[in-house]
Amino acid sequence: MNQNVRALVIGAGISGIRAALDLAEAGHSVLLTEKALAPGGLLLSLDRQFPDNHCGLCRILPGDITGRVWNACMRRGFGHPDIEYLPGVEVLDIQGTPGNLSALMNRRGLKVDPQKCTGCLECLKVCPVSQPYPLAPGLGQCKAVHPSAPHKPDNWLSINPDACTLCGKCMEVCPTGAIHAAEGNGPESMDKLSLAVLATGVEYFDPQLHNHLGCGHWPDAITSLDFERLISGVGPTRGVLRRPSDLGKVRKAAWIQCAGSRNLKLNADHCSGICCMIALKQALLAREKGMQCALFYMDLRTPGRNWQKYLNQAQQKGIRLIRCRPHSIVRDPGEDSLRIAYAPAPGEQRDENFDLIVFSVGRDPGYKLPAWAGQEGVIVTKGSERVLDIAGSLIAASAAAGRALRSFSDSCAQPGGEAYVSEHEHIHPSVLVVGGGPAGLSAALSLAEQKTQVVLVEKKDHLGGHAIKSMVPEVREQVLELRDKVQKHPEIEVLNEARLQSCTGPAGRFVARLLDARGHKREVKHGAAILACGTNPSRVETEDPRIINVFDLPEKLLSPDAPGNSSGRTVFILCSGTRREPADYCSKVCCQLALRQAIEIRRLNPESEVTIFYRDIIVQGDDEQLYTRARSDGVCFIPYLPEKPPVFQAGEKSVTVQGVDPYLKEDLQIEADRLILASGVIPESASDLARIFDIQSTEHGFLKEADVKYRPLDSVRAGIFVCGSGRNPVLAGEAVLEGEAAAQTALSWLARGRRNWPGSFVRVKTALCSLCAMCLQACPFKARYPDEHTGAMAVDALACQGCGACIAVCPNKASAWAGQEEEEMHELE
Amino acid sequence: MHNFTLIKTKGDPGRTVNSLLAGLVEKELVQGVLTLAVGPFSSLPMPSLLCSIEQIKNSSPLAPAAGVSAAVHAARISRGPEKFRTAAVLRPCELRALVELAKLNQARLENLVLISMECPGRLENRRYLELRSEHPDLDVDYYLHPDLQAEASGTCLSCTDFIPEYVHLGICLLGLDLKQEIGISWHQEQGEELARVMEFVSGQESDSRRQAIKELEAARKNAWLNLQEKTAQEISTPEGLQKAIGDCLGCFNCQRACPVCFCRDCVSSREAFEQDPEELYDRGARKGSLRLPTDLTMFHLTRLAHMAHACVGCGQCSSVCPSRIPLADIFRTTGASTQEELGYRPGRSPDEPVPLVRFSEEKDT
Repeated sequence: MNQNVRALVIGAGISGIRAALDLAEAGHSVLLTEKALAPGGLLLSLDRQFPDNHCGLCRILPGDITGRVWNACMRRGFGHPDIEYLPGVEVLDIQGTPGNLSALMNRRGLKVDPQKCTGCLECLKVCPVSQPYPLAPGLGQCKAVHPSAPHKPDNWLSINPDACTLCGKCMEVCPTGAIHAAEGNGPESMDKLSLAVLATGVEYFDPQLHNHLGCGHWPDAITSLDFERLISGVGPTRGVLRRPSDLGKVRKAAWIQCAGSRNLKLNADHCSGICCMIALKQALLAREKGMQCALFYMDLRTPGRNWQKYLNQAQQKGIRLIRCRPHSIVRDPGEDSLRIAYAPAPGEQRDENFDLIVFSVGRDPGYKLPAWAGQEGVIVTKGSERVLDIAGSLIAASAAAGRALRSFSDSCAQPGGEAYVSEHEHIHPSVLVVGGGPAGLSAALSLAEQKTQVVLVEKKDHLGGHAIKSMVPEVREQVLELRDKVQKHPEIEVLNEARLQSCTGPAGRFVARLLDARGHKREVKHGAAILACGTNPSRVETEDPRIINVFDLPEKLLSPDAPGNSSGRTVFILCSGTRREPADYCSKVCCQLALRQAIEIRRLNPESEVTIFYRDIIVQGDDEQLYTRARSDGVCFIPYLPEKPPVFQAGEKSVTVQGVDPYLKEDLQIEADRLILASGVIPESASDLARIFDIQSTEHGFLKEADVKYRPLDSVRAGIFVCGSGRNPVLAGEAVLEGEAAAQTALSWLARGRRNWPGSFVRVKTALCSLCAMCLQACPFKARYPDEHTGAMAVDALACQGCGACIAVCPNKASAWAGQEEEEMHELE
Repeated sequence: MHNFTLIKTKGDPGRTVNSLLAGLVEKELVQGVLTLAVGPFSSLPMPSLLCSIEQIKNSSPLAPAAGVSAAVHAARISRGPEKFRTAAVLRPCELRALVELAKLNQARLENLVLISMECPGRLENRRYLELRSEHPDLDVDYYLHPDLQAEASGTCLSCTDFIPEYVHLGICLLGLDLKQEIGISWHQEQGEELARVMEFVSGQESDSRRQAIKELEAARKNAWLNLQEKTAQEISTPEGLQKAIGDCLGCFNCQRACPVCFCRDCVSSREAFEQDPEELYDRGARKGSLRLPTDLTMFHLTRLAHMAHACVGCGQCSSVCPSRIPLADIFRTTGASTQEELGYRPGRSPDEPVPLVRFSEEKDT
């Protein structure tokens, strides 16, 4: 471990834990502070996560055969030999310069020692304080001393320092002396920190404080965070959905989207991004329990390659989707349930009663980062600026860890340690990056700036991908800057016009074969590969110059003789080729691009008319402002239903677009001078790459990650990483972030080669092996191979991830858990 | 079927097949033949590797016996180098077992010419010897007298898979006057190649053949459904299963005879099944008495769990059981439902992956 680098990570939610792990895996020493006692942050109160609706709290921690760190449930606590975890510590300020930061921290409150606590709960009886239950404030009160997180055993108590009056009664009554004022309570300074990563996450909107639609007044109108606790098996009602007001059974529930988001009255001109998916998940969970569910929404935002399917599933399971914003919630005298008044269409007023109303809350518009977040040397994770989903938070955290290390790279020597003991299992210390778009460029540069050799392979004759033609000047500049740095960096070899042919070899000792620009054969040895192949626009099959692909528009838009550029009518049709089979996914980039173009057309020609036919405008975060701006600039938006998309016919004078007016329910005809189709993107080279690198691809041909939530940039094969649009359509800025995160993940993997990797999870009893090779076929990680020396199927210790599939298929128990003989397992009972 | 020809038998279909096999060696298509032959010390035909033309011409490829499953031996022989190419004459169930073994890397089909026949069933070993003493020409008579065929093993009489599937050369016996002629069918590229070299001329199949196949199918299916229903009923409860295997002696013959059990060293013969005296006393004291040997239910359940998906229904387990436990009925009944659940037919084709390696939680549950 490199003791020179001492990193501080603030916040032990998943972002903080991920950043801390990345820093530690790269060989640095890490301090991880958390205001609460339990690690895990918000995630601890979320029992189940989409898309499989299972819990995944064990999936974030890395596996390690020695048992130092194990894929354990995070609810049991958090431990890592290279991370010092400081619970109950709040960071108040950071000062200094990178390499020599000092942090002012505050250790607060009483502590309960889980080693001494017997779980007798006498302290709860004497505690005079009553506070709203911190994990679900809408759902009742608890004492200042309370279980530190759901699912925790009773001896994991925590005392809320904000509520505790320090009366000391609990200390008196505790029979084992487990409660004590933590030594060194109070402010404390920590010096000589190399860098700091701020990963505290955002604050969520509290509709009660704003009396949003009467929330706070009606106990049965709760927030989506409260709902997670209500439906939890260890929640206040043990998972039975009951009305908080009278514990009556819930038969019908409604979700109201965008509470505190997309609301100009609240000064919230942002989309929180994750609430649509969370609401769908919650409705699906409630539906499983027999509830009738309705979801009130404006646009259902299911961005990227994964979530459209989940939405389809929700609809198939009978979740009602109602596109409108309810205007009031009332309770009629004598009624148990709440009445939502809403207008599904102009002039149509409807009332409907619900037992439970859930407000989907996102980022509090009033949330601000602390002032010291701008301090040089403090890197803020994206997840602390806006709400991100689990995968997004983890990607942002890895990227932040990388940025932190790079900001400090001169004094940051290669993490030390001896070369790995066994020669044939040594990881080659270089990385092959495939694809020279924003993701590939940023991955290559991040690696190079951390002193790692990179070979960057690009199919085309130039770097930068589609992003160098971006409409957004900042994106163009960012990508061009990346390109220049990559081209100049001595650690990076760029191979343009290269054709990859194969990649063979065991994990960490890969050999790629390719043809370079001159058609010469080349072999590239590498220890890790980052596949960042990107996507291409779907083609629009037409000869008519008035019908244009949204991705081709920017150039044509800027030319003065562009058709319709005078004062004509422009019509956009969004999702014209996607979000339905055979491309049943969202391409993510088209909506924001169309909005930018619409705004630009109106700016260039205030006389022109712009109409956008859309299914859902899917923009997230501050891109919401594009939507707001387009509407206020006079762009006309017409939603359409997937079963009735607008049709067009190219005539002599104009392109006739026919749709349905959703409000008048009448046919609508527009004679357009120009029709712009958003036909989406397709991952053209991803399936080839998947084949070459022997990893999986999705049904639509995107590169598939090992775990869509918790290991978004790992492939199932150790040492092979995926990022960028070829995995999941992303905007250029996100692609840059994914590239950085993939680089960091790859560096952690390379660092394994420098450490004493403890060995394999699986032991092979060679005398029993019949060489049936079922293990080879069953192994998702390509970690089993026939060993000519032993005449048995061997295990590649570096590739093995301990899933046990080979052990399960081996009829003969020739494959067995290393160090866990059957007899020992029986003894555990 | 177009790839079909008739060959005159001159009264002995077995000899006709012998000549055909000898032809394969003479034309150097194979180096040896694996088929049934009677040795000098016993009248029971056993799988034999025959290399001389003379021995091949004296073999008994159609003898209604299968002392052991030839699949295991075909698999073993096929694992040699390429210069040893063998024509293996197998019953359809043995052929299926061989295909299963090939999927598990226990056989190399490319070293084999696969020959199989329409199988009226085999006799149990003891019965074969008894009948042979009454019928010196049993191997011919068996095909001519339905009452002799009715003596076949119980498993065979309820077997519906009596026509070989993954085969290069098929010996066609049903619906033909075997005193006059037998049929040969050929399949796959290898079969085509053999037919070309052996100069088979394609001919038409008669309606009487189709009719005979249909009738046998109907009779067998009927017998199987009755047996399946009866067995399923018997083993539907844990007690029922324990009763069905209650006479087990723990000899593990069934495991050794099973052609698809391929482990080098079965778990049943390892430490997990070892009898530790202290533990025996412990269990004995708890229950008052302990039947020995113990853990036989576990043994059979383990075998069912491991092999039900791959059971080819050859009946060897029943044949070798000294307690006459109807193990094959239990295996075939369990196997049928497991295989149906998994959409898997063992032995159909080597390209069909074994369920364990292609199982997907999403698709199969």
